Amino acid sequence: MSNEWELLAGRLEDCLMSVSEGVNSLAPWNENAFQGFALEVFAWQFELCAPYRSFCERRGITPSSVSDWCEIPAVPTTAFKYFDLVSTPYPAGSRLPDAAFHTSGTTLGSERRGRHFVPRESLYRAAFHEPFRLALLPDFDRIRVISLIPSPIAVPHSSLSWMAGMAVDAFAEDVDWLIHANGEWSQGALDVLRAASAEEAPVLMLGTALAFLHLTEAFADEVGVGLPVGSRAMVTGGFKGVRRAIGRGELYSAIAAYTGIEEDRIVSEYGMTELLSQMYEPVLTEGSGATGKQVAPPWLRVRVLDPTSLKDQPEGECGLISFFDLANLGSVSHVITEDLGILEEGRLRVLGRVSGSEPRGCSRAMDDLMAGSGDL
Amino acid sequence: MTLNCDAEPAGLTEAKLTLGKARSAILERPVAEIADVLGLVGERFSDPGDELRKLALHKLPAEAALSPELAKVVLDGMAKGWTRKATSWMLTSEFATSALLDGLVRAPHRGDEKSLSGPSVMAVGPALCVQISSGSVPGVGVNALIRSLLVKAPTLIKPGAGDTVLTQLFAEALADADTELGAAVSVRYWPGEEHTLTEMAIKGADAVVVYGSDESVSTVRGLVPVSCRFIAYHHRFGVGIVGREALGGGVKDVADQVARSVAMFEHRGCVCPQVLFVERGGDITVELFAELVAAALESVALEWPSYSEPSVADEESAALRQARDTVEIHEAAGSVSMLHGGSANWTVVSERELVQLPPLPGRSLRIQSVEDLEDVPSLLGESCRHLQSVGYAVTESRVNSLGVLFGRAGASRIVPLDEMSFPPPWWLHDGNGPLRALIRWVEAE
Repeated sequence: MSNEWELLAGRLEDCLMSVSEGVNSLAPWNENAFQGFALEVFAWQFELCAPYRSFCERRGITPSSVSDWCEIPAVPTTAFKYFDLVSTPYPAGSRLPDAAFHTSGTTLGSERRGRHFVPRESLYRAAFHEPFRLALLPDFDRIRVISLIPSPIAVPHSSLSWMAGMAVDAFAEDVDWLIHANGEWSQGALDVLRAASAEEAPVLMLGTALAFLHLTEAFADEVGVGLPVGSRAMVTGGFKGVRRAIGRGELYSAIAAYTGIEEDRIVSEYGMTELLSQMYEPVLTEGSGATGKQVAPPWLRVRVLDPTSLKDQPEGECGLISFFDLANLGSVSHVITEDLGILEEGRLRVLGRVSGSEPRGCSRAMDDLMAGSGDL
Repeated sequence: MTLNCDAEPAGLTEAKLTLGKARSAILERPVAEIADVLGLVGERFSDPGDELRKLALHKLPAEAALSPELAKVVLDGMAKGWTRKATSWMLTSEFATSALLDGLVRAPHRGDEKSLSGPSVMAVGPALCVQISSGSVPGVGVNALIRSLLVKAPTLIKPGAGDTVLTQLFAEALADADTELGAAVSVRYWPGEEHTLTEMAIKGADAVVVYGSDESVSTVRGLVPVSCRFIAYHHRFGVGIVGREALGGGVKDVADQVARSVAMFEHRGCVCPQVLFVERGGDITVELFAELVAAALESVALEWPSYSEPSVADEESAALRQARDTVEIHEAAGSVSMLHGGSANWTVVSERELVQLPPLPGRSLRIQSVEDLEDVPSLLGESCRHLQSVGYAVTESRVNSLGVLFGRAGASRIVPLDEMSFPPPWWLHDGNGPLRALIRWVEAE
């Protein structure tokens, strides 16, 4: 069984990586190709992930009953906090997953954290590579990286740190990690930025919106650093858990003013721990017209749904964002998020997280009491 | 009365100066007279023909995200505590004589036999009280103001984001009715995360009252100087208990009471039951009782619909989708069963075993079957520190013993299920008299 599963993973990896051979390398896949993979992936997940199988059976769905990936039951991202949704052919305890990512939690310290196990890290790496390259480095093979995301060695259970590590492995000429695992600046962080400013080679900065906000505030009294022309930044995430939230425009202006990276060279990334594929705004290749419009790779299908009926919303109407991610072979591919968005010409405009999805204080106290046992 | 929803440092300082000047006038007023004025103003919210009530009902739904139907029920329930009778009862419930708030009163017996002559005592409210209220239940701000003014404390109040309307309307009406009392109130709003403004507001106060989440209370506590009295109403929750004897005749009434206590305030209040413990061995099974509660919630949804403004409804639907689908995975595993209202925001989850469930938004209830209600406090364990109200449906003979059990475990209020939602104004709020919590005693020998 494990051989067959590994063969499927290998075929997927080949497809995810070989798309770079085309001229328009992230062009949509043939519908049959996606459909075939999706049904095959679902069959494995149905067989290997017991909670998911029960969930599907309860809805009367089995691999033999579906003919379209849209019919495959989607799990909510919240479920990753309560179940180990792992689809691995290896018996429990016989082989550790390659990685286990934890969600970050939000403003409430005791909120449950989700876990996403990754049985085959090379598939994650394959899903990451081309979309990142096209979004951030369409013009360079390698570049100097300055990361405001802690390194994967410092924070091994962060999918974002893992992703930054993959970016460095694949594309970095040199790297400086400016933030420690505890969120503090590394010693000499400002000197690193100043030194990079004195060079001619462009720089790629990676960071969360919050980290960039801190950068502009932490060194507000210092002269801006002015990175070389051609530098670019990848910004991800919102302002979860922060006391002060600012708008995107204000943040990008502040980044531009402080680092010298032009606003139309700041690329927004949209991803989440529960998905191994990411989306980007292709501003480096399409210019500022692409701002606010996330593009999915062809192995990641995006839908915007009516929250109650789960029917597709008409183009341009707000709904709940859901994904079918073939790179999630080792867990569950069909996922409904807590985010609201709009699909326009196949691109996703993310409107934000559902505020009500955070637990209320009263409820949280009840969660604590009803917890029963520790980890499931 | 000062009204300003965009508080800034200079404005807060100025407001506190004004409040400081207002104290001497209200100290001279008999507290019974103050109670009368507060009650007269409060009664306007119950008078169907009064413009103040009409304005409140017009503004309340959007601010508090309540349907007009539920907003009316909430206002009616809250305003029952704002009458002349209620304010007068508050005083008599907490003080042997209200004269204690007007000056020194001879104390009957205090101390040992050598002190038979006894001192005179007096209750003194804060010279400046800052009330930081929470946003989930409209009317809490008015309650806070009434409490403050009954102990003659000039008060700067920051209402919760969902409770500015009633607080402001009450303060305005008070200023119209009584200039001196109106001058002793300043309503200011600023977002809770603006700690600098909170710190500025607190400066110079000698009592700070905070309602809100544990995190909010903890943050404000860190800002309060040691010389300032700090009164905290942190997050609490309610539970319901249903004895097996209640699962016979009249069980539909019990289910209806449960449903109404869940739906009230859209289930945002600390007085709302989060979990219902139902004793096994009654005439009907716990599962069947859960179905009756679900049916009652469906009926209540017609009588008191949820707020339907699209942006709120979309967000709640999305959150419900996450929670219900996660519960469905538990259901598929056989550990729980769930009933819900589809597009209506009620959800009932019956648990066959202890499981970890996501927070359920909207009008939601978890039902647990238990062998004996006496086992519940130990099931609640550490969470009893956050336990407030216990709503019951049991025979009268069990109330006292269960009350002792739950009270010793942490609960401060044991009430019939149909009285959970609106405690009287003189209730021992989280275990303390609302006026006594604010005053300090003075004794003169």
